[in-house]
Amino acid sequence: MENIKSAILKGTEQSQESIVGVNTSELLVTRPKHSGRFYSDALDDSQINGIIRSINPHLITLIGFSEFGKSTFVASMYHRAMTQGKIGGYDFYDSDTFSGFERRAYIRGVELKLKKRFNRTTITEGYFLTMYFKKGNEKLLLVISDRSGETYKNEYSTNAEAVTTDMPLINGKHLVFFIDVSTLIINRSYLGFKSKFNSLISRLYSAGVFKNKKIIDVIFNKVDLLDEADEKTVELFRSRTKEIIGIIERTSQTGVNKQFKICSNKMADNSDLYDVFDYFVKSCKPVDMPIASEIDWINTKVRGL
Amino acid sequence: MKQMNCLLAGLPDTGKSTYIGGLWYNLQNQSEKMAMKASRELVNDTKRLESLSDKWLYGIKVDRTTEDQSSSVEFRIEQKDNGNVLTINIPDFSGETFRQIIEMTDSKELDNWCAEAETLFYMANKLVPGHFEDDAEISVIAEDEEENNDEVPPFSSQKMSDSAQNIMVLKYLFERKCFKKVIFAISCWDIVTESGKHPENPDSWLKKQSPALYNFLKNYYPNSIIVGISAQGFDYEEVGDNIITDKTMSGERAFVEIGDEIKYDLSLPLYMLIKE
Repeated sequence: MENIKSAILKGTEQSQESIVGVNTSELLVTRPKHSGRFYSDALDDSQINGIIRSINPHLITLIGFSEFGKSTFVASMYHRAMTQGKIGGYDFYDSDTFSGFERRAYIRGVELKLKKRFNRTTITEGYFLTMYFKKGNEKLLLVISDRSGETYKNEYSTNAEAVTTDMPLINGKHLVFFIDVSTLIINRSYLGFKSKFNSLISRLYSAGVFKNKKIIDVIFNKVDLLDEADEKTVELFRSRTKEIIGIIERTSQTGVNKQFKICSNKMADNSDLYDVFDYFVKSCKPVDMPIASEIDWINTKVRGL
Repeated sequence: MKQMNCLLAGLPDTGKSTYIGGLWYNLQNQSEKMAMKASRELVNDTKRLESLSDKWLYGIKVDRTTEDQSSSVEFRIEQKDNGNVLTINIPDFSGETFRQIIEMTDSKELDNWCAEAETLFYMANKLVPGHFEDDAEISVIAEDEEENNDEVPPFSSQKMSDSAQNIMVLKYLFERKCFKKVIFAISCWDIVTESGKHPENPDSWLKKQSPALYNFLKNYYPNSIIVGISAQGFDYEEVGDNIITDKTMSGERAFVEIGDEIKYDLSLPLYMLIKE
């Protein structure tokens, strides 16, 4: 499933996949010309600065390994914005990346319902997604960085250069770590996860990601997998949550701002999830930004380019 | 004589050609209750108009997959309130032309038309902002799971939500042209209103059904007008030829709804685009 997701996110899977039961001529008819990418697709590093308009953007970088639910979360937030028209009291009125969101929404649906084999082909993929909100004359621009989990797991934890060239990660002010609850409550998974997570966060530290003051939040996703009636598991979860928070705070020298426990693939009556969406949007308000006048990601990025 | 270029846009099956056919028939033959009428001075070529008009008259659906290529129609109309005669150019692009925007298949013809157009008449009917299985409670999901299978169609523009598709087409057009006026017409309005029996404010309806699309439209064109349109008048498959004929003769077949009022006048949206 990991390969399927990556290929769809990268916008390449439909050009060279082997599809069971799908008519080839139909596939060709629906295949877009540009390597599987669509109008208003997710943006890459070179495109992101093009969105600067009159609104100061607020970048939230989602960090987490594969299958931890980052894209599912993003798709859920988009879906909420599209169906409700507003989040946190702000009207959702535009995006530069509707196709990027729709792609993630499609994957989310596939994951919930079906299993499918794809041959994966990779190209440089966009991973920035934007959402515009407004209330009266106040306008907010949320930029979400949703890189594939494989990038964090396989590249960033092992390759210093990959991290040091990620200017938005280094200069961005707001990081959100995604942790899959199931990796915390299964011993074998936890050991593997903790090892990789330690490598990743050390790599972020070495690359200077934490040199600039940051807001750091942690989302414990798939909390529905935690059996609240099982006291032993709940205690295990609690202690390991504390351990992970400790690793983040010690390495980054920054206190974790907020912790959320959510299930991002349940849209109905999920106030815990809605609260995170609200928080993301309200984070875009300048008043909520940390005092760090010299760290303006967009300007730094523009200069860097 | 004044001339106006109006870009008639919309995804496939939104009724653009049907609207043109119904409009032309009524302008020529049933204009007593309308704000405008066909000018006696016809433009040189009305072949396409007549073809679409005939199809509308006899309740024949315009099947674009077998139709000829996109072409523009031109007609001359007279405003009844001031007697002004105006030549209107409307391109009859296929819906696929607009869907291809999302697939990044450029249409120079469309771009050229966009540059020339003063006003936009956008038609849409499917407006669902997407659906997730978990929108509903678990018990409802369980019933739907029966449809599960092992095949996944590839991600394509048609897998995107209706709202997103429409927003992207509008976004593309708005990026290319600052239109003087914009009409957003929700077609198949007979389905929403039971053929006009139960009026429904189109503005409120769109805001409720597709809030993000509504926000998008109103953000960039606060004065855009949202109307409901039923060019067919009803579903052809559900009524007999006699009803089609009777309704056509009485001038109470095709209708538009603006605000809370239903009017049997397909020219009203155009009139609103023309009106200074």
